[in-house]
Parts: sequence; C-alpha cells; structure tokens
Amino acid sequence: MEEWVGVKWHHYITAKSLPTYPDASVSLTAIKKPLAIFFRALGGDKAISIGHTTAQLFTGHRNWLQVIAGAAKRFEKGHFKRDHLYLPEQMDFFANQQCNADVYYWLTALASHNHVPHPQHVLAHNIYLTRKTLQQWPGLAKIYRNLVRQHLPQRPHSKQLPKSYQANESLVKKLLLNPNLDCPIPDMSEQDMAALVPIWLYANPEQVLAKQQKQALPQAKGSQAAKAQQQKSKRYSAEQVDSEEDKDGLLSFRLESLFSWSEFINLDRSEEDGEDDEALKAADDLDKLSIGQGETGNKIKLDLDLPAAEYDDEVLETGILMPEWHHKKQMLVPDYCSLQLMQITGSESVTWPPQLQRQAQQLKRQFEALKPQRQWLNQQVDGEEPDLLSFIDFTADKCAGHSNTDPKLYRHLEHKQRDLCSLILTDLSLSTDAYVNDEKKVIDVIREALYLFAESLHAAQERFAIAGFASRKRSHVRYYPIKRFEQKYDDLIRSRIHAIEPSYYTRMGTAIRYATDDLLAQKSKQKLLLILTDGKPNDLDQYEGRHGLEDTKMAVKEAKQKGIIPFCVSIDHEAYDYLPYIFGSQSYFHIKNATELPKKLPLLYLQLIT
Amino acid sequence: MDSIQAIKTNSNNYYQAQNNEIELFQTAANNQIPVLLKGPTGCGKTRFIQHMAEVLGRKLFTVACHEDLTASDLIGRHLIGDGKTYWQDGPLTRAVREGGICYLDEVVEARKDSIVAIHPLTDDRRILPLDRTGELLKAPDDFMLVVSYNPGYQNLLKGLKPSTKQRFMALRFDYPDIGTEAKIIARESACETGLAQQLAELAHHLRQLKEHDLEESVSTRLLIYAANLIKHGIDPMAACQAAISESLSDDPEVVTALNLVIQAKLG
Repeated sequence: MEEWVGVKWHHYITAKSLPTYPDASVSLTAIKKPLAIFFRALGGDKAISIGHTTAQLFTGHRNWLQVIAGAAKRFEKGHFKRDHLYLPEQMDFFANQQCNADVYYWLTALASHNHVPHPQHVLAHNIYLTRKTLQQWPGLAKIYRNLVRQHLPQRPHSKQLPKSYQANESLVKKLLLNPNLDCPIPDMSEQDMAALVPIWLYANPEQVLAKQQKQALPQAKGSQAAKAQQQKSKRYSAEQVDSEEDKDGLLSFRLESLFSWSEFINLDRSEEDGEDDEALKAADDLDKLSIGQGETGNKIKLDLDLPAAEYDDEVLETGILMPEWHHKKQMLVPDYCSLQLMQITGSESVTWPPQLQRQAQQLKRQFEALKPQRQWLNQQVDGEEPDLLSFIDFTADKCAGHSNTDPKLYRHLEHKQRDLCSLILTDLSLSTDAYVNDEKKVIDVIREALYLFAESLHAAQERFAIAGFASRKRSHVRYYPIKRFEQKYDDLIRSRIHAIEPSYYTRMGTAIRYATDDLLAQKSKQKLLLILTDGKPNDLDQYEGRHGLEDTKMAVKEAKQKGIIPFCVSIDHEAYDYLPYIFGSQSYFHIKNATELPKKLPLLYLQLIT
Repeated sequence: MDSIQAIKTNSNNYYQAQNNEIELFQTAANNQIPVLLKGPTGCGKTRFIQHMAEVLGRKLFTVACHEDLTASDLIGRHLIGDGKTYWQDGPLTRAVREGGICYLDEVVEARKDSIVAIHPLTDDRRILPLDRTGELLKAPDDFMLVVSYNPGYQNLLKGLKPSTKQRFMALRFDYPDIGTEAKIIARESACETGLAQQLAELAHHLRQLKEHDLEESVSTRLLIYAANLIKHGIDPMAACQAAISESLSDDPEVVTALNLVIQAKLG
C-alpha cells in the first residue's frame, strides 16, 4: 500500500511540476533520417551526426513543486558537442504529436546555422538564431508561432517567481512572442532563466561545467595555462562550432567495447600521440582536466599490448609506409602510417556447421549461373550464323556500286568474360568481439559471411581476393591478405577464414589505401572494393572522431579517382550517420539485422555486378 | 527522303550568360575549334547551344547519343529502294556538307568505336572520309563540332576516352547563382519574381545534399516545371512535391525530408 501511494504521489507530483504528454511523445530514432537530411539541406555541417542526449542538469530556477518532486533538475537539452548535434531522445513537451515532431525540426533548423550558443548569452544567441532562421525559412514561422503559443502557458507565472527572475522571465516571454522586438538583450546564462525553453539550443554542457568550476576555483598557473585560457575564450567568442575542440579530451576516449568505463576512469591520452603542434592543445586539455577534477587525475595506460611473437600471427612484411589525410591541415601527410602484412595461421582441418554448408550449396547453385556465359557477337568475319542486318547493309552497298572486300556478315557465339575483380576488405577490430545475439559474436557473423561469399564467388569463377585489417595507432596497421587474387580458393583459405580473430582498432583509411594499390595492380577493367565493417573508423589516437572520418573519406575519394568502385556494407545501427559522408549516397548498404549478413552479402554482390 | 531536319531554332531563345561562355564559344566558332560542354543535368547546356546557333546564324544538328549508336548512324548508310539504292547522309555528314553545328548530346553514352568517327573532323585536317561512297568531305569554315557530357555520371563504364577529350576546348557549366537562377525561372515560366527567388533559394539549399543524400541535385529545369505548375494554379507545396521531391528520390524518408525543407521555405 505504501509503495502504491508512493508511486501515485510520484506520478502526481511530477505531472504537476513538469508538463509532459507521454501519449503524444515522438522519439528521435523514428524521425532521425529525415531530420538528418533536413539538417544538411538547411546548411548544416555534413560531418555532424545527430545523436540523443542524456538528461542534463538544468541550472536555472525551480519552483517549490519541482523541488519537492525532484523534477526539473535534469532536462534534455539540444546542444552541439564535438561532431554531434544532440537532441532529446523523446519529445513530449506538448499535447500534440505533430507539435513534438515540430520541435525537433525547429531545433534542427536553429542548429543548421552551425552556431553554438555561448553559455553567457543563451538568450541573445537564441534570439539571433531564431531571427536568422525565420528570415531564411519563412515557412517555419507558422510552426514557430504555434510552438510558442503552446509553450507560453507552460512557463511559470511571473508573480510566482523570486524577484531576481521576474525581469528576465518577462523579457524571455516578450522575445519568444516577437523575436524581432528591438530591445537591448542582457547577458543571460542558463542559471538566470526561470524555466527551460524547449525550442532553444544550449551551450555544450562540458563548457558550462568547466566555466562554473573555473569561476569556483580561479587558477592561472604559468604562462601556458594563461595562453590556453586566452585561446579558449577566443574560441568561445568565435561562436562557430569548432568540432576539433577537445578532441583528445577525457570523454572522447573510447575503447569500443569498454565504452562505459570512459566516464569514470580518470584518464588522459592526449599526449600519447601528440605531435609538436598538438602540444598546446594537449596543454589545453590538461588544464581542463585539472579544473574538472580539482587536481590532475592519475594516468592509466590502457593500451592493448601486442602479444609475444610466438603467439602472434605470422608477419609477412613490415614497415610499409602509407600516407594519411590530415583534414585540419588539408594535406596528405606522406609516410604517416606504418602497415605490416600478416598472415593468419589456420588449423589443418576445419569443419563448418552443416547448416552453413547447406546454405553454401544453395548459393553455389545460384552463382553458377553467373559463370561466364556464351553470347552472340554481331558483325564477325566468320561465325555460326549469318548476320542479317550486316548482310542487308552489305547488299545495299553492293547495289550502289560500292563493294566491300572484307564483309563481316556472320554472328559468332563466344564466351563472354566479365572483366571484373573484387577485393573484400573486412574489419577485424575488437568491436567485432561484441555479441549480436545469445550465441553469436559479430566476428562469427563476419566469418560466416566471408565463407559464403568466397564459396559463391568461387562457384561463379569470379576473380576475387579477401583481406582483413586492424590497427593499433599509426605505427601498427595490420593487413591480412587472407586470399590474394592469384591464389586458388582451397582448404588453406577456408581454414584462414575460419581462424580470423578480433584485434585492436579500425584505421580504415590506411587499409583502404593499401587495398586500392593491390587492386590497381590487377589487369581487370572494373575493380570493386567491398568493405565490410561494424562501426566507424577509429583508433587509439586522434583517429577517433572527425580525423578518422575525413581520412577515410579521402581514401575512398582517392580510390574512386583511380577508377575503383568502393562499396561499404555495414552492420552498425548508426551507419546512416556517417557512411553517406564517407561513401556518398549510392555506395553503401546498411544491414539492420547483423545476423543476416552472411545470407545477404553474396546476394548484394550479385545485385552490384549484374 | 530527308528525315533529318536541321532544327529551326526558336527565334528568341532566352539564355542567361553565367560567365564569359558566349564570348569563348563565339571565338571558338570563328576559329574552327571543337567544343566540349560539361555540366550537370538541366543546367542549360542544350539551351546554350540553341542560343549560340541562333546568334551565329548556323544550323544546328542535334544527335542524342545512346549505347547502340553506330558510326553509320552518324555518317550515313545506303538504303534499298525500288530496285535501286539510295545513300542517306547521317546528321554528321549533313552538317559537314551544309555547314552548321553538329551537337552530340551526352556523348559518353555512345559506343566508343562510333565516337572515333569524329576524330578526323576534330584535328586540323577537318575532313570526313565516307568509306562507303568513297567520298572525302572537307568541312567548310562554318562547320563546328560540339559535344556535351555530364561528369557527375562518370564511372568505370561511362567515361570519355582521354584521346577524345583532348580534341576539344571545354566549357564547364554549373547551376547559376541564386540571383541569376531566379531571373531564369521568372523569365522561363513567367511567374512572380518572389516565387522565383524562393525556388532559387530552395534549390541552393537542396544542392548541398548532392552525393550525400541525393545522387543528382535539383536542376533549373525542374524548378521551371515547379514554377509553371504553381503559376497555373497548383498549390505551391503540391507542385514542388511533384516537380522536385518525388523526381529527385524514390526513398520515402528522403522525400519526406525534402518536403519538409520545401515547406520551411514556401510555408
């Protein structure tokens, strides 16, 4: 009974303090794709993905009801952080579902100017963005007016507010109603606001936090810190979203499958891959860390050490230097990465599950139809049948008194070879160690996919190669030529496919460049590079985030310029966020259910080449 | 008999210059330099060539290239008639005989071996040998060869051979800037300038989606269609949906997003 009362009270009091309408709720995931296109069409930075936030602390005023309910403490706020635009996961501010969806579109339209509000000027910047949006997109005015009309009654009444908030609140209301109102706009940060405005963008919460703490413990240690400070304030006032910012910071660290750790391990990696010109940035981050924690946290080294040579795969060749695209400098840095060729040692005898073998048999039959077929060629000197059209032309010419001494009057049946070679490049990073369901890991799915794919292509007598890659920073990119073009597909290759194991990270650009070179050495006219992956390009160093995206994009562009057709197959459920940016709209395929990959991959190939 | 007619160019073909292309083309025409026009779909390549033919007072022979286009289709062939045969000139041969502009539209679509037929016309010899009739035609000074292609489609299968490409002076076309495009829309569809401006701004935004979400971006031609529909009483949203979103993509989610952008612009 007590519990029941408690639950009822909770519901009552939260409903009282925070108007939400779960029935009319719209979830971000449902409209993410059109929203992303909307964002880009309105001018949003194409490298920015849309993600959803966890609720952030709202630092403004709360009324007594909200204090009692413990509500309004956390809100989901739309904001930019690094290469993401974060929007609330669920939108249930309004009673009407359409209105809730409109909030998403409105926030996206505000964000499409690629400006992020300064923590001190939330009001001024949002009014500026609103004016700009309404001016550029007059069709949104109706939506805006409607949202404001519905939101205003939800805002606290001025009389109920403490004196200090009253002036601000009435100004906010006035400006919401008429954003073009010509009046001086005072500095207003989130703390000065009486309630959150759901149709505004907010500052990056990390910045806000850093700023508050900085105010709390003012420190200016040495010239370096002062310089970093200066640099930071410069960036703030520049307004433009600088997605490079804080790239090496605490929260950007991600160890793929160990992601949840990053939030509480006190770890700084910014120095590790530091180049000279990154030093200031590293100092900047250090400064921030010391502000965040009060004192510098311990450094924990969390590298995956390389195994001893005897346990490791066989090394074929080391020290192959590869370039990498540096998007901040907009140049290709030569000899930046070191690639080594390695080979997987497969066990002697391998048995595949009977069900998979059956599937392979089916596919083989299907692919046998792809075997080079015979085709009629017209206008031949000799052949099985006369070519009627040529004959008519010939006769007409002859009647006209012009005789051709070398008439080509026959049709000939000939084998037609497809002039195509394909290289399938698969991601073998640690993320493939994750489970897709109760029985299978991603790597198992990839293994089966490779097996079926190879069996099918073998049956179709296609020319193909298989390779895998993994990396551990730029100095160690592993490339496994599992099957080379000239190699026969036999039990040795099958055993290698069976023996693939996840290791390290995904420096995709380097692997694509090496695979491109391999393909270029082939004589075929058409060259297909099929990339199989389960996530974004990433590595332990700055390859995480935008740098890796840009490098991979550049590697793909280079491959295209050299006449290769790159195509990506991904099982990452967020693939839509970044794959179009890397590969373009027509060159990727997203498989929603990872377990379907083995079955779909050969069929996709069929679709691609016929 | 003469199934190929020189196009009688419309007496007032409107063309809005974007750059110095008119001057360049005129100079090329006066100095017997073959020209390659490249640019995306619907940006005004064909309109430009029609306009120029009119300005220069030359006949225009247009050939839409396709993958079955043979050399005979360009040059000509013998036809069998009542007990006799006739030689029928192809469009290229006619242009050479009569003088005028021969325009090969979407030249990359044509088979590579047929395109070789134009090679002797594109160097300083300017001749066209007709094997079947044994003639050797010398092109007059007012003969001009113009080809066009869309570099956006370029892939392994469809590309212009470098040996062909190097025989032409190339003019790059792109979609005009907002102001110019608005002017073109207003002029072509005779719609209000406000609407034309809105459509041009909309197009500018939608073009940012090219290669990321869309294979091809919205052409000036589509905008003119939309303006025409609106002028004739169709609801602006419905007109743009039909003329723009649905024609750009088949993916329902992409179409939804495009419609939202259109709505944001037109209201």
